[in-house]
Amino acid sequence: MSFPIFKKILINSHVSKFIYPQLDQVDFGHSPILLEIVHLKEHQESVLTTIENYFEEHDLNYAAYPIVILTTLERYHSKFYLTQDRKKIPQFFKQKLKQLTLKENQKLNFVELKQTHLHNLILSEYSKIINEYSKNHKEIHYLNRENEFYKVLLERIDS
Amino acid sequence: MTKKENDDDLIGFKDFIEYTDKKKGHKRRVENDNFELQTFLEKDAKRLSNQIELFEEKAYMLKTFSQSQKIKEKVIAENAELRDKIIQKLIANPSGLVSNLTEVLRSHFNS
Repeated sequence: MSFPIFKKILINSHVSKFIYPQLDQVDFGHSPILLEIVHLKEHQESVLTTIENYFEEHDLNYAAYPIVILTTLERYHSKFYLTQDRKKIPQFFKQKLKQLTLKENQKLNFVELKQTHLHNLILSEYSKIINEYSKNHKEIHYLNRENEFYKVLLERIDS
Repeated sequence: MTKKENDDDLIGFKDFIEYTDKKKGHKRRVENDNFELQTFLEKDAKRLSNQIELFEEKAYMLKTFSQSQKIKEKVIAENAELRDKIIQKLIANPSGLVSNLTEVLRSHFNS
């Protein structure tokens, strides 16, 4: 089993027929992944779209660990975490790997068990419930703002 | 026994003593470093457990016992009530709005 620290992957090409086989080899959901596309310069946007399409087509469960994309693009709305600076990559997953002791191996096995559990969940079902919940709460928030406005208005009329 | 004699007795053993000391220090450092990895793995396991709990237990609770609809209905009803109150106050005679508007119109047309 691989230790859950960042694995750096340099996307080799901007052509989707080469990107797909490269992504096929990556074990998403078992460790955090850093995809680097800075060197692809003007093709970065198309490569990002290809990566997103790949995840949609394969319905990949990557909830356990983050996928960070290192890019120079600033105004691109993506479901992944985009960053221009290596320092902004989550520090939690940056660890110096050494020979593991018996106790650490046991902990690692436990982590693997949790990963498998999370990996087996049908996330699309749960995310639908959570999205519905967040949508409702957004509506309640706007209704509450309206409510506050009416109360202030009423106070001013009375005064 | 003087200090010099004491040092003489240690000839041949000094390297050995220094070597064992260095070795102990090195071991301690390695143990501390490993402790970091153990803490990291414990935290990661906890993080994953929290995620599982969110997806399995909390999502189930949200689906089965959702309160959102009732809260929304309650706030919508309260808003409608407040709107009614405001309208009633504004159209009441003599309300602040009516008297202010009357004042503005009077001053405009009289002048």
